[in-house]
Amino acid sequence: MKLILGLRLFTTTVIILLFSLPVWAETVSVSINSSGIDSKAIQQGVLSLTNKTTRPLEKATGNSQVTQYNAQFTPLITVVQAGTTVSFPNKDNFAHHVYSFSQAKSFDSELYGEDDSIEVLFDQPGVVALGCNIHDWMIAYIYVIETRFYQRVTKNTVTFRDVPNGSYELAFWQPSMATPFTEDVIINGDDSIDFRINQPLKEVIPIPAPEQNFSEEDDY
Amino acid sequence: VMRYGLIIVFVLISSHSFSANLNEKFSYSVSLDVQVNSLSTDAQTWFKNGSGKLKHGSNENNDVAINQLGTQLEYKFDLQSKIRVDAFYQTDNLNKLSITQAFWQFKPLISDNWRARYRVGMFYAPISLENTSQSWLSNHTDSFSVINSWLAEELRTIGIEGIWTWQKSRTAENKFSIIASIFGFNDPAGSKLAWHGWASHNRQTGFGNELALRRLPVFNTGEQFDGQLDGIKPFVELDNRPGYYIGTEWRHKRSVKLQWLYYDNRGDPLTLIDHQYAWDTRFHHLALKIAGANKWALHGQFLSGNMVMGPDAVDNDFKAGYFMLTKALSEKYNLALRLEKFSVDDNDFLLNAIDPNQEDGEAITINLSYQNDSKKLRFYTEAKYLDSRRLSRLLFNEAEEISETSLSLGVRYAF
Repeated sequence: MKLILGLRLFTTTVIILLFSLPVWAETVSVSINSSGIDSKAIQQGVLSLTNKTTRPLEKATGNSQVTQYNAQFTPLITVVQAGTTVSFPNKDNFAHHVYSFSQAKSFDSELYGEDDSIEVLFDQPGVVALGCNIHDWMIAYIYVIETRFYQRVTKNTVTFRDVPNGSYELAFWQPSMATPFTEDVIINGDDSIDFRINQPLKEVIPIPAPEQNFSEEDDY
Repeated sequence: VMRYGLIIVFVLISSHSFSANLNEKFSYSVSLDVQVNSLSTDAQTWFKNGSGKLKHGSNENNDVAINQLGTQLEYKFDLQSKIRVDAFYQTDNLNKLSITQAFWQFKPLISDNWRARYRVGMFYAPISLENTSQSWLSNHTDSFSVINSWLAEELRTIGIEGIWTWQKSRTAENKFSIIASIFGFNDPAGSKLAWHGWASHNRQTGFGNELALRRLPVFNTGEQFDGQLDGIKPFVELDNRPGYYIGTEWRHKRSVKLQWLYYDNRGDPLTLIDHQYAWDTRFHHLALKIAGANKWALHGQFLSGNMVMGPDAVDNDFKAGYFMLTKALSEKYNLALRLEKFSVDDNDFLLNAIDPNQEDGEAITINLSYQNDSKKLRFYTEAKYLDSRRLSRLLFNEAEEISETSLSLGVRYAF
């Protein structure tokens, strides 16, 4: 009996001790090593840390918006957590349309006019390239991820805060990539990670809307 | 005889605030163009059976006239398909109303890499680099080049066409296309080019319309072609043999376009029905457009072909080409300069005495235009010089060589 009590005390102590150790990283800084790659291409990138065990639980319920104005989608890149609904308001005085052939979300809207909007739920992770069948030059990307830890790459070092310890997938994506470039990392307390990106990347510049006297008939 | 006058045009157009989009499905545009021409030519225009090459002839000097009244109607069924109808009201006595295009267009969504566009109905083969404005008008000049004037006169696809385009990705800089079409109802194509030659204007022939034809001696009773109608009906099917065109195109962004197209109407040269001959007219066409920085662009179209009619009765080679330099001087001012050369080589020596089709010539066109803020009003002035040598003029006691000059002042109101 004493032995059992002693064991219990020991176990409890161990558990309390374990919990009093830091179980998250206050800062995880990722240094991107991308020598030889166009810095403008890198700056279109998104860096994310996705917990491999809790990943499907990271569903969001938020909203986001991609506007159609002057026959262009704005912004070019939108990052959302899976479960987000994105609306596509048309601010032009002519009709637009939105479609995607991407695996993560394949859809095709009706034609809709000025000040109308449609809403699309993005619930699967991946890259969604959007288009408009009437104005073929229009393009935008929705990057759907399963984590709240993501940042646009504005500097060579990206810092994530308050990341729980665990096994993660570190991912870099940029619109010239069909799928993100990933690396498995273990987060156990504060950490700094060197992330080498050695894929050929190109800055994606959307084709501008044509001059006013451009004929739709010329766009095939 | 040089007859230039000082011309002042007052055009009063009430600025109604029309909406070009009644809803997202139906849209229309109207283009009204009023013009006055100062002409220096001894020739009567070919629209009035003369041998002149321009739209207006010697007796129309300083006339203020409606140059164009056209409309383009579009109805989008959904985002993949629409119908489009282009119609013109003409002020000359040839044909008052012309339906110049009427087709159904289908652009299915296929994939990120493939685009397809299908057209069924009556439409222009997609070769012109000039006629990109509404109702197939030119954005740069009032008169079209001789190549596109010929298209406007007697070439139309009445059939089906497909264009398939491949791109490596959605943001790829290069696009590659294949163009293919099968059509009918264009068997007389070539008649006008043989018997009148090239011309430069903006008058588009409509379905069922008839073109003027000067009575050459060869049409007289007892002569070789006494079966030919007084006019030319370009859009009829005579031999039940479909024609075709195939082509390929490369586009780099919107700055370079290179296209090759081969056209053959596959007319049976021995067919004569209802006083209208079928012609076998074939040509290669090359188009090149390079748009540079600073809003200048170089356009070029080059066409070379052959047409045959009758049992070795007419056999002509024809060639034409132009270079056009356009420059947007500012948001409002646009300048265009076009240089062109054209020829018809008559290979049928047998009939040359009564049906000589030999001709050659060159033209220079300069256009300066001003658009107002709303881009609905466009004022322009166009100077044109066209010199042509045509053997058949001798049959009418005219000089073989005629130089025509025109100076036009016009205003186009489009919405």
